[in-house]
Amino acid sequence: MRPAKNVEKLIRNIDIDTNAKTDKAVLDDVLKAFENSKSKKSAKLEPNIWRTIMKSRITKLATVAAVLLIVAATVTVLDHLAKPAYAIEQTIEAMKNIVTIHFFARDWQNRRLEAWIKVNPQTGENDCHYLNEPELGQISISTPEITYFYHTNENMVRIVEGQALRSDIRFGRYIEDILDRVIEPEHGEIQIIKEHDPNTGEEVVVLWAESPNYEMEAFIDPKTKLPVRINFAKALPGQIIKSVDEIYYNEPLPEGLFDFKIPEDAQVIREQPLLSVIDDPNYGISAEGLTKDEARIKIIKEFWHHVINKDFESAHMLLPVADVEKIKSVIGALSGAIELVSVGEPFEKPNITFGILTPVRVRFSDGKILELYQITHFRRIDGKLSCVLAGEGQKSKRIE
Amino acid sequence: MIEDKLLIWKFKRGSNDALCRIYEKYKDNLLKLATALLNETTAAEDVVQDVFVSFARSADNLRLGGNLKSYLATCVANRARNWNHARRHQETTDPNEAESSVSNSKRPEQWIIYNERLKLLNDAISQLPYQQREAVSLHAQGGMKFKAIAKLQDVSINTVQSRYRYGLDKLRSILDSEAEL
Repeated sequence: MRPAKNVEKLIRNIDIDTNAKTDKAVLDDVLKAFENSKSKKSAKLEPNIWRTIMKSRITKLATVAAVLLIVAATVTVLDHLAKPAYAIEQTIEAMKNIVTIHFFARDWQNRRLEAWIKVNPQTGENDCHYLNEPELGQISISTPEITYFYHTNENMVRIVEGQALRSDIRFGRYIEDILDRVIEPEHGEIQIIKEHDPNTGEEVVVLWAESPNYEMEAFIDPKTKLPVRINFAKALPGQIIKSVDEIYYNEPLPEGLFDFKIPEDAQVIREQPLLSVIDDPNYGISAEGLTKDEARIKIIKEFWHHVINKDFESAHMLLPVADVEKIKSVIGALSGAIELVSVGEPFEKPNITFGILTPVRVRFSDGKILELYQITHFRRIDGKLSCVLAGEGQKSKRIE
Repeated sequence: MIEDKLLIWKFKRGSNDALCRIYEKYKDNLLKLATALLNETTAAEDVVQDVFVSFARSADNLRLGGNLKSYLATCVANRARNWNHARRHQETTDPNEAESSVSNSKRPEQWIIYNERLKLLNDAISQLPYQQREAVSLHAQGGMKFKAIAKLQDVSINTVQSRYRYGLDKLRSILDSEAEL
């Protein structure tokens, strides 16, 4: 190394120690200055009694009884100052111009998460995802080509070919898809309420959508017509998000956001993509000597037998697309499955090409019965027929 | 750099967590930079504290052209210049004036815990002409590009690179001679 480089290295690498007590005192001072600047900003907002009145859901219902309509109808609400009316179609239309979504949310354990979504403006599909769950210690980056799951606490990277982070609901068409695919088929209801956002003091439209298995409250900016916050009381199966606290649209994507660099010392695990996993002979059961119908019923019965007995390892061997932790947290946590009530007749769905769906009714410890639609995938490996479960093909519903 | 962009983004939207992270991430480096530029512990601590307080107040108006590290280093360099200017002025006029250009904030105890190596290095850096000291400290410690330093010093990039080279050479000879003693 050249002498000059030695000096450079010395300057760069020399350590400095600081007094922890003073560190904290200075930081407190800095935060105080920050809070003061924030309070000056928010002091400009006038308090509004409207929000206080509207806080109670019962009051909300009473206040908006006149605008209670089902989803198929055009829903509008007139402003008391006779501003232009709001209609859901405006939000659906405005969302078609979204190319990026950046949001901060909380999961059902109240842990913070942050996500960036790159949206295909033509289709509304989620092209790329960036999901940071700091309290869980996981960063997930998913593109059509590759998906990385970086477990920061373990310094481990799982790599899956293709887009492993997916959502049945298109983020770029969120309201449209929820209304078309969830609320309308279940004969749900929507309401529109006007109020003032308690965080910003600004006027917002609240879109409240409810069906037997889903309940959402979306705050719509009356200027942009776009949702700025969303709360969920009941969510879709597998949905990790309980509330979306801040949403920002069409922000420029940070450079290299979806180009994940594997840390040099990280453990790297390459996992099989979905279609490889479900064709892995180590998973599933043999269908030799059985009809497809018998094999389908057998694997579903075996799967639920394992889940009811909390043998999640064995359940995972039949449903390899969900790892043991996922089965534990999603299926095992459904207040405890206690009985497989029935296995229904199979049917096909045009968009699911790799398996057939079976309606399965399961009773839980609280007495409720849920109907799930499990996919059975048949494969012939080395001339031998076998099958495996490949997830759920459509939204589950509560029967009683 | 992505982390910084996200931190700035969150900070501008009022996140205390983001501000804490920025503080934790850069305070040590800025303190090193300030002590190198000022070679006076209390003044360096005041300058860095002032930079963070002022940064915290700037969330609404902050427009970052370059990277965050470089931005904060420039803030420290500007305040260090003001402090040096006030000190020089004080030496010729009012002895109380230098104090007025830096923070009035009170800290419970001394912030920097000096070690021998740091003291030795800062003593050596303090023997450089100020422009060379600034070029060396901002590039090697502050991570600033020569182009940004050239803008700050209002000279050409070549001049900054020369100042940096001369500064390093001189620093090496000072450190070598001290090692021989």
